[in-house]
Amino acid sequence: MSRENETTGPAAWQYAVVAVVAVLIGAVMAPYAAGVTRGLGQSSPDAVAVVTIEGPITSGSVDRVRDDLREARQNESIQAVVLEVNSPGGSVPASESLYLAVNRTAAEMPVVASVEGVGASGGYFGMLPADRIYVTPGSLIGSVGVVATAPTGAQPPGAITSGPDKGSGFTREEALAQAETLRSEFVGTVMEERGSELDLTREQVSYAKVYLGSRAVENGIADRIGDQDTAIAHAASRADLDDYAVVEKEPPQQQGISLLGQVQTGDGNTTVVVEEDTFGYRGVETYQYLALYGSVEDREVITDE
Amino acid sequence: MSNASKLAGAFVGIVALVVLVAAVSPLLGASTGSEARTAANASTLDSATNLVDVPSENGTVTTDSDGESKVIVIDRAHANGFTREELQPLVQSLVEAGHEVRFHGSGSQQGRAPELNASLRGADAFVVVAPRQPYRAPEVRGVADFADRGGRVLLVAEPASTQVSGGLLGGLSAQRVSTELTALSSQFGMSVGTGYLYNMHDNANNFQHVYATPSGGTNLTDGVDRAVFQRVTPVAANNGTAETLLTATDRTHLSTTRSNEAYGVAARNGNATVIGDSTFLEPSYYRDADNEVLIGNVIEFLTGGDKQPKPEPEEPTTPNGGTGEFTPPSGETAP
Repeated sequence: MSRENETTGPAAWQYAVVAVVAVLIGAVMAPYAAGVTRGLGQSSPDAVAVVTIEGPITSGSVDRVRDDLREARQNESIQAVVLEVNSPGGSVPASESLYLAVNRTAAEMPVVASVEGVGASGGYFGMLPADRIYVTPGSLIGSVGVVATAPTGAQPPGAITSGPDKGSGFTREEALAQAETLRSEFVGTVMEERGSELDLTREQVSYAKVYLGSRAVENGIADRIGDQDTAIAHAASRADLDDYAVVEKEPPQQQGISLLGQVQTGDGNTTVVVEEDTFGYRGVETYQYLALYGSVEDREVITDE
Repeated sequence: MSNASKLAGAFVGIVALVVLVAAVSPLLGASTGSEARTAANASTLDSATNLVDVPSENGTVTTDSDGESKVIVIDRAHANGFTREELQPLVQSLVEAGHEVRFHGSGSQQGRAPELNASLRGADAFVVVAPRQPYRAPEVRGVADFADRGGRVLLVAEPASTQVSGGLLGGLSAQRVSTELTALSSQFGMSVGTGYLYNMHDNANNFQHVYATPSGGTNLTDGVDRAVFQRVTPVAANNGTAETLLTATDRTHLSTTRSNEAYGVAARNGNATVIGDSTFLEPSYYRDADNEVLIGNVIEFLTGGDKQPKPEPEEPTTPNGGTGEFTPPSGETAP
């Protein structure tokens, strides 16, 4: 009896350890295995990728979205992309990058956008190349315009600058011309991308209004009332997919601590609070051009309002 | 096979698997170089289409001076919304034309300003820019009397705006401030608004930078083809004696009502002129469009009067003179 225990007991214990280690290693390996499976392409089912654009649009958040879109273009099993948008916008350069990445993807496969929440300003800019924009009736969408903000701080006492524009970079009038350039670019892109769908003049679009989803569908800022599943179904239909999988890309992580938060005020408005230099370079104050729906605190807004 | 061998085999298998995965996993992403990095169609971002230039600035403020030196008093005693820097082009042009510029009040909220009517006594023209404190009745009567005697009065308004103060530890507070010019301008049959004008169709690089053209041929608009105002409130000439000088261009709207009308931005009634914006006087904007011509005309208006001295009262014992320059002790009613 005691001899049997000596031969079977330790083996069972060891098998248990091996099993645990195998499970752990298997868990570590699983994503890779899935990647290999996806990489095989032809043997995997066709899929619609859901790429999430969440929160403020910064260079960091756009990098992640751009990677997701690039992967979608590379992966032969992915036949269409749905952009799940809930963003009040962000910096103009980051919004332009997002637009270019979506545009590049839309040139290769159907791209459909779905807004549940806010799809405004830079968030709207980014989804413009989509074949169709779905919104929920209570979503907020639009805000085609830019806000220029000036640094609050002056040069430290005793600082020596080598030229009159070294401090701010340009004069106030030049800043106005730059803001007007970016407005023209944004409005022009809306007019071009929305085309005949749009029931607004260039002048009306320039008001930078934010519309309820139900109104946006009426005036052509968006296309249809619907949720994300509707958008996925339409994307699959555009890609001629009857049987397909849905691949959800992870939403971009917010950068470190919450540098920018949305505060719901008593009157139902959303105020974007910039606690740090979210869209710029921490520790360095510069003029910033924001394609953002919301008020920017602690910085001078040069629209005089 | 012994248990030890089985376990060793399992471990070896697992290790081999891990190594294999480690070896293969980099390859999964290795093909991402040139693939999918294609040029995007970005025709709508074309700079040639969108690039906007700064409006051209040229010309200088010129005046036809007859050589007579005049005294221009600029009010700073009513929380006026300007800095010395912002009025520098106007002040410099006045001085260069040989005139004397005085400021009434220190601009400080704490300091007690001298009596306005005393400051006006030696003045030929009086300039008020964006006062944020109302004028008292004796002051209003004094300014009206000043204009009646040939003194020139220029009232410059601004739209209401939100001022944010405080910050950091104290917290921010927002306050709505508006120009307190109604009491003065209404003496001359003119009124100023509170909202700002905007034009989404034709503007100088911002919807609030609206153009205005002369409404008729007057000295104040001679040579002005088009002026530009950066933040202007409408000016109404509301009786038959006052006349609108400049009108905002077509498709200009008012912020408060959003309605599209022909909004006057400058008006004149005899010796008094009202303009709905002060930013056109600022160094950044005073040479935009024909603003420098308009400023030259404003200077000629200010210095073109012929003010008569106030007649001495014949009966010094009369207590109810009513001009405000002499206020009798109060507290008792006359028997």
